[in-house]
Amino acid sequence: MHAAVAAFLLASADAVFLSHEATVTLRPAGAVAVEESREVLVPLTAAGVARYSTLSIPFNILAESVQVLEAELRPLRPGRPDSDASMIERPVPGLAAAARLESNFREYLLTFDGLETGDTIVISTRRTVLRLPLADAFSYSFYFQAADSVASSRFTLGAPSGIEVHHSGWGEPAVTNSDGVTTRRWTCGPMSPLGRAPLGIPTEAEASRVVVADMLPRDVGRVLWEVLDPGGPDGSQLAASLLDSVGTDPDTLRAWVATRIAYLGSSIGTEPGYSPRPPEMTLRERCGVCRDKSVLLVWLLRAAGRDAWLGLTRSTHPLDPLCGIRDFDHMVVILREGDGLAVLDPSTTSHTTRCGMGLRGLPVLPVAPWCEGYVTIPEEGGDTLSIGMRLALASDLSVLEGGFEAGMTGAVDEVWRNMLERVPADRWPELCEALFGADPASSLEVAGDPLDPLTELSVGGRIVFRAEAAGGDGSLGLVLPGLLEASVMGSRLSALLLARDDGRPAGPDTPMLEILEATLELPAGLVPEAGPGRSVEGYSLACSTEGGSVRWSECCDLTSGSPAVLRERVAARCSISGRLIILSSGGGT
Amino acid sequence: MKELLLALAAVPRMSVDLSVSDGVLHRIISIDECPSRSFSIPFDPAFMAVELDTAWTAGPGGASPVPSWAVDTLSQVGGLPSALVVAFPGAGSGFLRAEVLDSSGMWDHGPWFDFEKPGWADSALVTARWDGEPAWRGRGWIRTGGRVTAFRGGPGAGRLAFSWFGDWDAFYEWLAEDFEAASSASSPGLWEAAIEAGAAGADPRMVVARLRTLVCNSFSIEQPGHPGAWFDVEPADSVLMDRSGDGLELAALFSAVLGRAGIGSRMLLASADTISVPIPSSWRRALLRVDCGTEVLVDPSACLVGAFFIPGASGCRVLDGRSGRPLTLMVPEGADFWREDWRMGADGSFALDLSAGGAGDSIVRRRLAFPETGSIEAAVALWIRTCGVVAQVARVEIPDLFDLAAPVRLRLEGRIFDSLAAGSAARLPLLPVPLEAAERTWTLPEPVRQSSLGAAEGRILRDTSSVRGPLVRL
Repeated sequence: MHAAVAAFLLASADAVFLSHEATVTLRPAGAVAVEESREVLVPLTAAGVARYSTLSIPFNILAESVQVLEAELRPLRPGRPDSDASMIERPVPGLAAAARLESNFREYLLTFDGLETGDTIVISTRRTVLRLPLADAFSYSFYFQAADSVASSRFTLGAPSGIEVHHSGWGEPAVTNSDGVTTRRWTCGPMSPLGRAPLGIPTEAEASRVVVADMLPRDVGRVLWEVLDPGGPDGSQLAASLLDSVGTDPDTLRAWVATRIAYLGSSIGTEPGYSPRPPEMTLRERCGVCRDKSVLLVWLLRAAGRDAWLGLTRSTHPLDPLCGIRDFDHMVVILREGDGLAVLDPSTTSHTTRCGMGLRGLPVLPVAPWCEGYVTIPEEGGDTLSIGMRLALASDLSVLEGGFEAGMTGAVDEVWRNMLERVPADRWPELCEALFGADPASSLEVAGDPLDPLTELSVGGRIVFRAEAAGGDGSLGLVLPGLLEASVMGSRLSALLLARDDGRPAGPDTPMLEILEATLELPAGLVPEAGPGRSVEGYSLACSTEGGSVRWSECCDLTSGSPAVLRERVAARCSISGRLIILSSGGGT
Repeated sequence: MKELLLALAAVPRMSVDLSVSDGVLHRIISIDECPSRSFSIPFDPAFMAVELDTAWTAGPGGASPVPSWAVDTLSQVGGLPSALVVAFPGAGSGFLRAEVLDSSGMWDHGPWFDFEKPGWADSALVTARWDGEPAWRGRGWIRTGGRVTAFRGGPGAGRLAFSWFGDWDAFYEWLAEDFEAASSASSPGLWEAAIEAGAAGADPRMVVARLRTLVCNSFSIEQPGHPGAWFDVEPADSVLMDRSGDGLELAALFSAVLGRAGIGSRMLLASADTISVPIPSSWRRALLRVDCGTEVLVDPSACLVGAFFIPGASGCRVLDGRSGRPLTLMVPEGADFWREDWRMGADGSFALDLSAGGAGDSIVRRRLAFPETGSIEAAVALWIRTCGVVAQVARVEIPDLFDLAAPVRLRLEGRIFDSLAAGSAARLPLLPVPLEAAERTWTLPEPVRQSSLGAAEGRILRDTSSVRGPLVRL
């Protein structure tokens, strides 16, 4: 390899793919497709060794068969023979923890024992897609770029000449025709690594790729409507009595389905892992996963006279312009309201908004006869953390103590609910102290039920901060607690934003508008002199004094902006000099 | 019959019955009125089989059997590799009877059991059939005699452990039986490894350090699962060939290679468990006492720690097979150190030199070897943030964290967002660590007039106590 190319390839990479190839044969005899791949890679660092020592090849045992044709370790150091990887087949780990009794989703786990940096791994696999669940909509995504370097890559698609094939992404292929088969080939030279970065977007969303499919999204949505749509309740007593007790408001119904139907998956129906339960069954058994819950909610909303439809999306990274049935991992509900639409996610309890923040902005395919392609999940906004404090400085100047209240909305509320769900209730005060930077002598309590999306969540009580003071020349400088100290989530986000200066796109973390309003009463005899405050775009700090008291307010917008603008904003937020007040005895400084 | 059982099972409870027949442990599990949506029975298919006798749910509408879709065998992450998962759909509570067969060969000395009553159960009953009197401990448990040994636990019952092992040295010998044979294996590969580790006139400590790095970087380290797999030790030459083993197998390999290099060693079983009942599942860690002129302790499979550091040594107990009881692990003093030397510029720039040893060394390796944030600079920035200072970390220099023989050094550069000019105030950065021996100095651009923490000497601020950035005013 040319030295300059090697240097370009290996910059910051943990491994290099010497060769990265896939061949897809569409509609061979007896199958939907055969997907063959061959990878030759070399781990370059310990992180690369850790990443590639074990490799998972997932498959759905009811619809696919996978053969590992070659899985070989070729050592760099002399004296060690080539060896085959060990391999086990098992249900995909994580199903039990996610309450999904769907052992048809399996994996081959390849383990390359004793892999060292510089060794070469060769893996060849053949996946035969015997049938596609629910709809005959095939797609395949080939990535020319990865978290690690790729020296060369090639993707070949062979399809009977009469079949219409769509493609998007990486340029135009070289096309040849022979024996009734049209072969399209895409090739690519060296590609630099897309290593992970703080607040980075998924590699799959950033990498150069080509996507092929035998159906347009519009047609996929229409075909799926015929097999997935639950229809209307047709006078179901079950639906009517439920609407009588719960009401017909879409948000209330979403919350009811989210909280009252336990998240539990199972391999039932004509297409285990894909077929939803009938809504009456979900109601009777009080359990289901996203597809079951969404079908139930559509059914209930239609009973309530709403224009509701199923929608399919991918939660890990945005759907490509083309899609097939295997691309979706999540089902939601599309509610058409006048000219607009809303997307409701009844799967999870942890958000008061209609959809969790992880789905914002993602494309969704309507499962409907009117489907014309993707719609986008709206950005609801309103992601706010509001903090109010009425503090007093102890006479020995050791602590600031007083009343505290905090309210959360949108994404901030969702993160809080997620955290509280995972922590025993008796540890919530400790969690509050950690997240508001408070001293353990504080007594903070959570109000509201994190599992009930219809109740508001807030934190209140008495808060204690250790006073931070430094003196000199007969006066004392005291740092007023601000967002830096009292909004630890925002400070963590600030640290990550400051670590990003590589010019690559930044992904969302927890967008938040932080607002702090606070007062401080000083011990008798102390006179404060406030700092000048500070203001940059998206950040402001104002501080004023009145007699023996100080009032300050701080606001930081971490919801949007380019990385450069956000970095300037958080740099101002991280400064403490604007919150430094000078205290002097009696007659001023 | 089901109605009768329902009437008897008015409270949530769990019972387990243990018996050994032809070397196979039979464990019958019963749960009644389980309020959870599902119940898991972990097992290792290599040694165990699970048979679900019956499962049903009961609620206001009566009892109904669990449908077939609600029973599945899934993979587990950590612990035993598989689990039979039974879900209880509907609004009622769950009932279940299952039998687990265990043919791992761990039951020659009778059934032993380590049990934590699930939180949902108001009571639990554990019965076991074996002659003689078991050793047992269990807060909140009552032992009843008779032909069957029975333990009853109420709502406040904690952990229950019992076994029929009587003697700690015999217990060690039984567990270490395979180890002795495995570490006595011989092959040219073991000689080659010994020669390589001792190359260039390495002294015994260097040999040990090199072997530590080799094992941790070139071997797949299997996590402990079923005790039957753990105490079934592959011969050292096989482990060397396969480049894979669990902690006990890697200790056997280590011991075998040291033996070829003329360095003696003895295996110690170690445990952080303080319960005074011999339970094999508690002793799933292997250390080596190595004769390097002076005796040193080594944990052959401890990754990302210095070559001679024993993670979790405080409170750890060891069995050496000679002392008749578990011994408290003695940790050499002075091995842990942590020194931060910060040089602060008037424009907010800073540089840090960090040196660390012992526990401090392992903190750096484990925190920065695989940064979750995707960049080592971001990982260090998040670390500094925990002291209340948000810093921009521009550059981190660090040696190979996977070379266990070399001590950790860290150098970084960055900036904070308060000017350190005279008359201003700034909170200084530091790296919080849970170490008493942490020492820090900050060299400031201006003489320090007065500070809230530490002792100031001109431009040098020293702090040996704070875990939050000290505030200084210049």
